[in-house]
Amino acid sequence: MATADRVTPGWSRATIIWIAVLSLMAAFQLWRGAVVDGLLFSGLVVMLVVDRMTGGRIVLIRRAAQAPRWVVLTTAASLGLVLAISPRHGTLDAIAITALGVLALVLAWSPTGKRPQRPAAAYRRSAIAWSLLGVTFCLWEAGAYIASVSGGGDSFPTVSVLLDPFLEWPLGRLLFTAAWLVGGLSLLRVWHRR
Amino acid sequence: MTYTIVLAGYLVVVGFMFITQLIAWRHPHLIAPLGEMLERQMIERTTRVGIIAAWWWCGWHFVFAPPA
Repeated sequence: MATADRVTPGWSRATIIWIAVLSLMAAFQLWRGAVVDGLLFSGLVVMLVVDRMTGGRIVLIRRAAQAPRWVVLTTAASLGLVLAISPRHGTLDAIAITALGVLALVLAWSPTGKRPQRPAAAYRRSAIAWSLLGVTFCLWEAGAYIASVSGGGDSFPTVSVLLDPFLEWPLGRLLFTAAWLVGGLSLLRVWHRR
Repeated sequence: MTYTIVLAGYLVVVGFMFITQLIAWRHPHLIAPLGEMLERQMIERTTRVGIIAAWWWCGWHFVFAPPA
């Protein structure tokens, strides 16, 4: 398979920034009492740091990353359906979201082919713009969360609070899950598989 | 009033995201669309796994995780 991807050892700027972002996420989740979220991000950070320190030698399942498109799509759609229609916060929900996480991690671990080519400056401008927007959004939400637990209450809604009524509506939950899955499968470039 | 201001803050940022993406679609050689920029960032394993982890967490957090 032709590939422009790198799994070579090294600590590029992007690698350091992403490990820092994930570490910050882990710390914030632990601080706010979301222990499971915090441990998940902490575990991911440890795995990525070890992978870098050992020269990219952590190997998950080699063959699974080569699974044909129909297998990936069928598996993802089935798990997504379970996630969308099973009782929210229930055991089936937990199994489906965990299985999707494992599937995504395995697929993301291996290279996935050539990437688009545009002028480097276009990527740099885009990365700066979206980083600024993303950080602004996260800071705004973190501010709302801190204010809400510091006595502000419902006057400072987080995104979760705003989305909750939509996600409690069955059709809303189905639409959100579908959009979320399509986004993830696009990031994993599943449409480019055979 | 406070509720409205907080909500407006989210909408303003989302509005700028929408405008940024519109500009990128019209002038991709000036500013790359979000999807292409992310694909470019995902050349390295760490960024690829980090971005996928962020995506997965959105599903975990919004669809599954019980309220704190």
